[in-house]
Amino acid sequence: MFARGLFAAAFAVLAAATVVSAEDHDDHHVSELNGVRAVHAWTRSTSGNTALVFVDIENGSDAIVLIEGGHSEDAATVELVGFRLKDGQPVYEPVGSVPVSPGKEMQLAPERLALRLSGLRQPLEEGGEFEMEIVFDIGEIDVHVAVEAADATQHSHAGHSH
Amino acid sequence: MSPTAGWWRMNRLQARGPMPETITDLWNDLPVLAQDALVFALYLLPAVLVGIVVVAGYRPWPLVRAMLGRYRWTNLLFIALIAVSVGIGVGLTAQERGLRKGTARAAEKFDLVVTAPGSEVTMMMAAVYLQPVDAPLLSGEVYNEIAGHDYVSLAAPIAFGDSYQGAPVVGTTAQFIYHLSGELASGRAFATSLEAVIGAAVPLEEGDAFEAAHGVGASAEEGAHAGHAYTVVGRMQPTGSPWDRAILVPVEAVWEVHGLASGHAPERAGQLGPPFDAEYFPGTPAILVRAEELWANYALHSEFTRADLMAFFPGTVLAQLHSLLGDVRQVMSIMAIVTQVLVTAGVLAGLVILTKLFSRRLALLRALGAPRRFVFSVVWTYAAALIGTGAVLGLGVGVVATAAISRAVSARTDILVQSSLGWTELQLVAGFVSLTVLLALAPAFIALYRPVVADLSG
Repeated sequence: MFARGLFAAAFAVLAAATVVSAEDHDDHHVSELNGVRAVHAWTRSTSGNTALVFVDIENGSDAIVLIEGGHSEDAATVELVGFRLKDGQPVYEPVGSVPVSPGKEMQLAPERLALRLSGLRQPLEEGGEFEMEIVFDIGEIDVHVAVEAADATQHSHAGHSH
Repeated sequence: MSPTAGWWRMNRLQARGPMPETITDLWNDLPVLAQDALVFALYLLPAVLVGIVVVAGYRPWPLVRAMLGRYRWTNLLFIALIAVSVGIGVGLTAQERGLRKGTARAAEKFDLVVTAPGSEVTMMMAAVYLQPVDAPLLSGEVYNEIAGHDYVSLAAPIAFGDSYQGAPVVGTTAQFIYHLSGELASGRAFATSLEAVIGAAVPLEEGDAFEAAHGVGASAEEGAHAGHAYTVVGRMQPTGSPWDRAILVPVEAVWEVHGLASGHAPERAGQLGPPFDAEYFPGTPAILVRAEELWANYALHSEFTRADLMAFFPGTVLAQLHSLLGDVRQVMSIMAIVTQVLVTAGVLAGLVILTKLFSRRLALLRALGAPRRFVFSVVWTYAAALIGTGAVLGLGVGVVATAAISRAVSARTDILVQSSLGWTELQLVAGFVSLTVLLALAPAFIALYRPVVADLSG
């Protein structure tokens, strides 16, 4: 009887811990503001002074939202840039702001849209994380940016639904 | 900043190690040209340092010049081997870069392509590089939805599937022709469904008439569209893409020759180009979509990515393919260096044998009291002269090889490939020279330890 009680208590603690862990996990990967979600923010490790941050933006609100840029204490400037081919060379150019329609998703991903951090104050090492804000016309969303490998093509949890 | 910011900052800092910030910052602040030049100098530095140390205090050059002249044909053979090896190596790496730029340039005009859901790579190959593929068609409702979007400045159907003597015949609009070519090289855009505009490299002339075959390649059905002859009325400017070998006709003509509606209601039966009547729109496998601003292309991509549509950026798909091929490029560079080093090792092995030819003279030098280090510097300088000359000539061979390979690749792919040697190749050669002059220390040591008396008598 005592053993069963102990087992039940242990199970309850374990289950609670799992729930907390899952919430904590979600906190790391998802941020939300008025129905607009930023999921799986990530960048590549670098010792250079610029980095591109990628993230999936989901507009669950009922209005068009504008992605306008960002802020980070770890970089001098953050701007929204778009990828294009120019004279046979891949380049990222500033794009100002990009609208996301209600119910639509905008992927900031390699060779697409990205937030370019310039004037990095420290190198970004694989496995590290930092915090930044993505600026929308409706406000700012804090995101935790995971630093992936220098040649990564996606967030290491890409494909996990949140 | 959220309340957890402190924890995250600590976590981040823990994940980072110490760093020489000043050096990194200095390097990052340098212009790209200066970085390339410094890397080149760094790769060449070992060769220069070894040269300084080996010849310090001596003047081996007059003797080396005499050795080079005495066995000029053997030396020329060794130099030619090194030059060809270096030339092919740098030619291949330059070619890979040129091919990447050429394919990217060919895709530049295709900002955003919308098709039925499927493979982005397959549809890119079809719409941008005109590789034949069977693809589901997009409806008139979809076309009008895209063409009518506020952000869209050009929505051109791209209807492929027919050909003429191997050249793809593509149904589209006059607006697309001007988008692709700018002003035409000659003539004008089509004005009726019996007229065509040809790419810059199509072997037809204005005024020529032809009938398209149904399909592309060996199984194309000649005569399937008999009775519908197109007359060439214009020629596009060169685009450096497979479109240079394409024949562009009104999309209405493609539908008509297949017995379909013309895209327009009967009362507008003679109209070419948009607007189309959805009810009379037989379908198109792809639509090129363009917005005036880059941001709008991304907004359109988001809008038209849905269950019944696939919107993709050919530039992105191509860049991802190039990225996958990045490892191949590294392997090619390593293979090039390994090949060059192997050739040079063979040459150096030959040099060991060659020094046997000089052995009597070298032994005589030593018998006359020449220091061992002087003899060492003579042999090394001789080998370094062969390597250096071969490497410099190899750059010339590389230029010729690059031009020849570019022409061959352009002819086979219809993609204009313009390759030239750049800093990457110069750095490759600098690394090669440094590595091989270090290897050249071996024959110099071997020459040093040859028996003087035996060589004098032998």
